[in-house]
Amino acid sequence: MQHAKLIIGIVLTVIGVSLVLGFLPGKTKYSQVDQEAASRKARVEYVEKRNYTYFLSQSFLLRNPSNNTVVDLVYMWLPVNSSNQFVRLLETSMEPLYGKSSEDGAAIIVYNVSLRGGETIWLNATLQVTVEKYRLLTENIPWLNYSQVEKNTGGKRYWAVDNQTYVSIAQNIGLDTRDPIEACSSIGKWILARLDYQPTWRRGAEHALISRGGRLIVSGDCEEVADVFVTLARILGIRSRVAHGLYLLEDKDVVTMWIRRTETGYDTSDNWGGHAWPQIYVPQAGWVDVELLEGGTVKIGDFSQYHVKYGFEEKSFLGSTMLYCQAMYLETDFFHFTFRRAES
Amino acid sequence: MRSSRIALSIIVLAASTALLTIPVKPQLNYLVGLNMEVEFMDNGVARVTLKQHPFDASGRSLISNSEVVERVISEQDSTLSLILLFFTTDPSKTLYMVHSQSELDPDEQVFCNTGTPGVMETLNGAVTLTVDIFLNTTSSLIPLGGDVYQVVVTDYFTLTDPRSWIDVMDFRFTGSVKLLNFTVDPTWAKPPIVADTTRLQWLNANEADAPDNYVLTLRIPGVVVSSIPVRLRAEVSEARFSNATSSLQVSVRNTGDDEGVFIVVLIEEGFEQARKISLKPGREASIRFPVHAQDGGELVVKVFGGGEQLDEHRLTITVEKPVSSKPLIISAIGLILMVIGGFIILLYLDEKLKEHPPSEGFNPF
Repeated sequence: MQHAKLIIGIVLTVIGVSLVLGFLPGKTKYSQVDQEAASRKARVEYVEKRNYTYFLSQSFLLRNPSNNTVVDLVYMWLPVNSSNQFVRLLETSMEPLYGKSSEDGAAIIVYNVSLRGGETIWLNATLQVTVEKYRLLTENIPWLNYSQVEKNTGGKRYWAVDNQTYVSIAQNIGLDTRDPIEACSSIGKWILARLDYQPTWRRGAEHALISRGGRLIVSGDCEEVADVFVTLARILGIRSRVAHGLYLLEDKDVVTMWIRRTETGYDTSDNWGGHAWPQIYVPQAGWVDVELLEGGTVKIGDFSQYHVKYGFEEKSFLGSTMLYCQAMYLETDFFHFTFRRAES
Repeated sequence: MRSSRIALSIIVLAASTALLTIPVKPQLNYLVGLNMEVEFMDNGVARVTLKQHPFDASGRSLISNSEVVERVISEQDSTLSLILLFFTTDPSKTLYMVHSQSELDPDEQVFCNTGTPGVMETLNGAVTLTVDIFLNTTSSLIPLGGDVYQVVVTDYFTLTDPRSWIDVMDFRFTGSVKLLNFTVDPTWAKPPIVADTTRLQWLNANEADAPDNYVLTLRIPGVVVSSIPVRLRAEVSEARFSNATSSLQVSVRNTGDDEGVFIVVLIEEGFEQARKISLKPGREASIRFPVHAQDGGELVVKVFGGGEQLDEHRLTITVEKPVSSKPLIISAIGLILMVIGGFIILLYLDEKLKEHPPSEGFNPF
């Protein structure tokens, strides 16, 4: 019996020593390569993609304001073929003279129009526009390479990337972010937390940031929101631009919106949806839309079917003029757009 | 010619259905006839004179309307920017000198289309602005070898607004400057009406006829293409890999005397990433990169400033095995077993000693 105690004691001690020596923590070869490889992989995946097709009829009322006959070139902007949007011109009321594109790729068709003094004419175009609603999932997206950062993240007329206030804000918001998507999300949240939405003429980022009660406010409408976003993104080395277009404020089979010249300016329909929003360039996905004014949250790569793109602004130093329909001597009195939803 | 009316900025309410009426201030509506003269001189200087003549929609001259003329003159800064944009994509990097300020010169003439199709008219009087542009600081000058250069002059009016164009574009080549060749874009644009070794002149009656880009091949002696000396200094003060977030934190310090924008580049297998960082002298800041390389992979961090590489840092991804709580618990159980085992052995020895106590009075010494 006494020997049994000795044996039990020895056995327990040996087991105890084995456990202690066998499992004490120490530096060993790391062996979780496979698990880590998955988490480090750059990933871009569409988790939702759906096409919505509209038949768009855009009509413009032109008027000769002078007493003399005028022969003039009339420029009509069309929705653009671009990432997540496919456009086909079906018919126009006049034979175009030629087509051209702006520095930033806007599609413009040019008509030669002759009107007697005081005469008016409607210019119409019908198009099939397919908008791709999408939702993008991204992980571990790398920042752009040196060449892209150096060439494509500079300042322009509306993007004050050298403004020290903006530089300071951008660095506070974004230096510690891990990837460009996280940085853009932080920028978007910063803007939304300070946004005082006021419809205004385009003023650019430099004039959109104002101090009120010791606090910085982003004052303006969608264009100022986009300009501030692009400015902050570019300071952080993210290639970003502004998209211009129409936003369908109504989810109906037929949506009609218009804008009309008056003696004092312009009137619009209640649902007028002229809109601008930022985009960021992600090499693995192309241009990714950013929407800050839809639902009060920051949407990056979460694009609704209500956006119709007419043009972009990236390269042109002074910004891209997007006027829907304009001539040099003839006035455009009425801009009319009807979107008829096709079966998707 | 161009419209100087404020363009309709059709902006707007994305999330509201409120009626939007954009107010327009009462303003002067007028068009402007534009003639540009560019004199290419020795040493790569282009002397540019822009002549402007305002007129109304009926083609009537407004040069005697002092309010309109004053407004055209007051827009000198924006006009200057537009002139620079004919030669560069970034006016902030362009060296120029205003040779004569905007002023009304009643003796000048502007030749332009005022609305009658195909007809160019002479309008007396012009607001003129002359500026000397140093082509070696512009993006328009492309060295072709020796003292031969390609100079691309872009009609920025038509580039910005397709309705606008330059009515007269007049290039002159003086001193030792020689015109070797020229083309225009688009190809359907009308050819110049004057084309000899000392002068090229286009009369553009409408936007469709006017070239968007004038591409000139010139021999220009004495051009010095030099880069601004790099004064920026910076170093990578720390580069630390975090396995928990698979990211690399890089700290960069501005070690020079000038504030500047630095580009920090991370090179790993399959990816090159770059981030911009603005630093005042002596200041340090940290940035993060997602890391895609596997363990053992090499990371190279470079810092650039003013187009030059300023520092380089290399590191290898090494990972320490994380401390897990499970082995600790097992070790603790082992310790407890050791204590219990030892205690039992002590009990055994104690009982043995009681059974066989040492002899009383025994003293070996």
